[in-house]
Amino acid sequence: MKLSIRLLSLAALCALLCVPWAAAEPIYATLTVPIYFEPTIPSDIGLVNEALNRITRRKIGAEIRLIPLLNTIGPSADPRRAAEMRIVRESGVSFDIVIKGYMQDETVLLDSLLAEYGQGIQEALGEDLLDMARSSGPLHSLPAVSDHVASAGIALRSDILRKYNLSTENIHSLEDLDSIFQTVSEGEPDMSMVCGQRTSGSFLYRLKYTMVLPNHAIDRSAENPQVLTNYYATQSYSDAVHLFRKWFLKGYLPDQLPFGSVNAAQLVRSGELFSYFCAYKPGIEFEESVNSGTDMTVIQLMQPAITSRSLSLHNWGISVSCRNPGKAMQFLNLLYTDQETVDLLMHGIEGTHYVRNEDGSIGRPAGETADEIGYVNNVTWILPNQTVSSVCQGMDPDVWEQTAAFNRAARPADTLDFRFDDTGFSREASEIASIAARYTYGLETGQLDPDVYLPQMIREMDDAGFGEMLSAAQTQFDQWRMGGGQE
Amino acid sequence: MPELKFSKHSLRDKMLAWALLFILPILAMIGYTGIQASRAYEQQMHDSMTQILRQYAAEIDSVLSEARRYVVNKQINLREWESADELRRLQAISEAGQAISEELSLHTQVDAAFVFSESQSRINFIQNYNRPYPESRQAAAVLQEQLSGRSRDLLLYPQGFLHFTAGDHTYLYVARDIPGGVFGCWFDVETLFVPLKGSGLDGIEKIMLADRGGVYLDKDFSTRSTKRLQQALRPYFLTSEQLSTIPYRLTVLWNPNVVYAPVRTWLMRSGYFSIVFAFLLFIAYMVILQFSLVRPLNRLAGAIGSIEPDSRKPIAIPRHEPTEILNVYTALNSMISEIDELKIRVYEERLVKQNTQMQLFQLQIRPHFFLNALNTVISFARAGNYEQVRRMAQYLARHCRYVLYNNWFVTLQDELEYTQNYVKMLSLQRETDIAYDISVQDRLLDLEIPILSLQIFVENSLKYANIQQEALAIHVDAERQTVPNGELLHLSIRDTGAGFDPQTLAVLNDPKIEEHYGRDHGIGIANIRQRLKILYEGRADVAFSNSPDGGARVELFLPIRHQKGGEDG
Repeated sequence: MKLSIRLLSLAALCALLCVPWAAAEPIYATLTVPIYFEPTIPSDIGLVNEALNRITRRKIGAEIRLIPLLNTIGPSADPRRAAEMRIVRESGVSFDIVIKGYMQDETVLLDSLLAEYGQGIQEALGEDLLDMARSSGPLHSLPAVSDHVASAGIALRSDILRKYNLSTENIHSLEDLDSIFQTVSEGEPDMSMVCGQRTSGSFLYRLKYTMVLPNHAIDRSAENPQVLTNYYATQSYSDAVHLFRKWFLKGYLPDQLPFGSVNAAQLVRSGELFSYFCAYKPGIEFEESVNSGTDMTVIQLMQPAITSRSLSLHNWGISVSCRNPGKAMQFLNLLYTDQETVDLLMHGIEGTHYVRNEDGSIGRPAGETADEIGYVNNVTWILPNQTVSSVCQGMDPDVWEQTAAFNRAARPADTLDFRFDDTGFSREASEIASIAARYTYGLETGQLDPDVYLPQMIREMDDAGFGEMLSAAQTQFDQWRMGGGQE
Repeated sequence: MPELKFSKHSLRDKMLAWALLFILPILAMIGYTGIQASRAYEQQMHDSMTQILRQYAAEIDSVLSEARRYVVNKQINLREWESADELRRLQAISEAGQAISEELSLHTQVDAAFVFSESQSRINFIQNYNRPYPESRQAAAVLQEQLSGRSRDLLLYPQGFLHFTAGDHTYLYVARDIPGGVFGCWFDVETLFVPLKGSGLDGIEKIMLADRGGVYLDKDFSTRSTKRLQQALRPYFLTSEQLSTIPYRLTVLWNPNVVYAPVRTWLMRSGYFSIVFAFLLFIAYMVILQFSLVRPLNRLAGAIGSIEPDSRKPIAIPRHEPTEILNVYTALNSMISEIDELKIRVYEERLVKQNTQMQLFQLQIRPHFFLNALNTVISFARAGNYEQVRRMAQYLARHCRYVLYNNWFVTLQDELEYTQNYVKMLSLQRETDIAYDISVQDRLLDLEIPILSLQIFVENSLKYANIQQEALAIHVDAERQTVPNGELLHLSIRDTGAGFDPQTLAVLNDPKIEEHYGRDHGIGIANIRQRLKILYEGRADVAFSNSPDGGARVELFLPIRHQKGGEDG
């Protein structure tokens, strides 16, 4: 009997000791965050999410629910993207953090949150870049540290270049590529020569980043920068689409155009494509080589610039539906500053998905091919700040310094804070956008004869009231210039 | 522990054998039950897995049916793709592609939709969400080749789903004619298996489809050799279910080690437990046997062995022995006590027998009788009565021959003759005439009776009955009497004397006449009683009475005994 009483007392004591500990288990705020991959979602995303939570619980007292999405089609409108997002939304997902340009969610004003929780972000972006981001309006999203610069290039298979002893030193423009395609197509008759970054994409997609008002087909005249004109009526555009037409007629384009929308790197991977248009930046060759599964050489096709478009391509913001914007900003702060977090999202779990070499670089686990690794992220550029992450084996060790220098060297457009108020022209703007959508893909991939369809498109735009809209834009531009908008 | 050396006579080893006889069947029964349980579990797992498989097969059927319906109902015209108006053509292709992309989002398990242009003999395809492109491209190339062949008509709907292989992948496709070409879609069979693979069921090693001919659409099992196939399938636990949409069987190979792991673990544990339990039980049984039976028995045997031959002391009974063993001790002590008493009784009986025999010898020899007879001879000789001397010497010689050369039993005839010789010798000695009448059937003369058993009573009659009478007659009768236990020889000796006085009669009829030994009627009567008791083990009797017409009567009741010692009844 005495023993029983002692045992009962002991059990009660244990229970009493356990209760405070059990109750002490904190309940973390959960943030729903999108993460993009291509061409497929890695199988170990769950493991990485768990590892991420271990970090975020410790560092910001929150848990993250990563929603994996595919970046197979880019930010352009695609039924599959719409379907994907619809399925995600229908399953009850409400994103707390959103990527502007990829998602249509409304976002909160970030200034006060940034001041309170985003010191690291402010340091990472710098005052100049933040000012640039603010120049186009209130700060609803944050630009990326590493990928806010407009650039364009073309990735070519290095092995083919070597095979035909082709030098890329003197290649600086689209026209310069012609001779290379000529040589390769003769040697590889079954191979397509060139493609946009996706088969549904324009060859000029990135070269258009410099347009003053890409959504309204309005750009500055090459002859007189103070005069606005129809971008599609410029000589440079005409030259480009004629060149693409020539390539098309020579059979340089892949068969799949324009039926599906396939990442061009996948066409390279399957051996049917030689080159595709892409971004240009330090480390791009490594990125595209990983994407294509073969060593790629990337040629720069334009001088880097910072434009209103480049600043808003994949910006990170906080949804108005977010219940805990403070925690969301803290997580964004981690994404901009914390190497552990960024390394995890970029490379996975150390020991499982990568090994760390003696020099600190990231290497593939011994004996494993890229296909066998459970977590491979080829869309790391969408993250706000790659530069805090570890460098991959094979990349220049100082790639992030090069990136910083590259970004610093980029010339900010002098029209960053010019906004065309198209009130009163919404019908024209909508019609013109529709006309552009109908023609530009065909023209900018050579599938439409520019001699026939380019004048036809310009005529249709004029018929839709492009002249009136251009005139109104010119007036506003002049007023902006007079107001000191232009240096 | 006792030394384990088997002996078929050892109680311990017999008990051991019996224990094994019980334990081994129990173990066998546990083993048999385990095997039966394993088989039942296997059947149950098979049924359960088939049931699960049926659900997934139905799901696959549903997916394929929907895809087929989609292909059949899809409106698409490839003629527009050949329009001379490039913009129209581009728009037609783009719009078709966009529409199919959108539609594929409703058929998530379709890997790709395709159009085959007759004019270009080329496939254009749209892969579904999250599918790797290179595999799709490879599949498209194979299908393009098939569709470009002449037998294309055989490869289209309504033949339903058919399959083709590209690289390491097997695909099912359904297609139909459309204006200007073919429209269809394909499934990587692995995609169809994704729900089953993701079901969380443990032990799935391989999921395959088998065609009508039983050939598996898998490079590892695609052999048509039944023997090789059986060999390849042997390591697996197989379940399959016929799909209704297509003429293929959905087949799942399970890893038996994983599938049976729960029951195997249980069986192994229970098996080990049973064996250990049986072993411990056996040890415990042996220990109990040793302490509760073998050792007490050995102690008992030791106690019995330590009993000295002439010891009358009971065995010391140990405390704490089992009741049964204590009972044996008690019984043994009781037996020792009885043996002791028996020994005393036997000894006493022997003494009695010796005493009786001694008395008989005394009766037989009786020197006084001889001396009297010799004195009579001497007196006859002095008187010159030589004829008397001769007769007396003759009687005496018969007397001596009879008593010296016989022992316990003699025939009735011999005893009668001897008694007659004795009566004649006394008649001559006393010079009186003694009537001695015998009434015995001849058939009784060969029966045996104890020696001197008649003579004693005749002598008594002559000794006591003749005191006051001039002439004495003695009658001896013999007859067989039937009694409930058999037959008796009834001998009766009657005289014509005064008979027994009541006091003498009471003494004579007293069974304990030996206590009156030494009195007048003592020695002879006691001797005959003792001898009858010894010789007939109490079944003979003697009775004394007076005849109604006067005179003493002695009756002997003897069990029938033939010559050579045989007794009747």
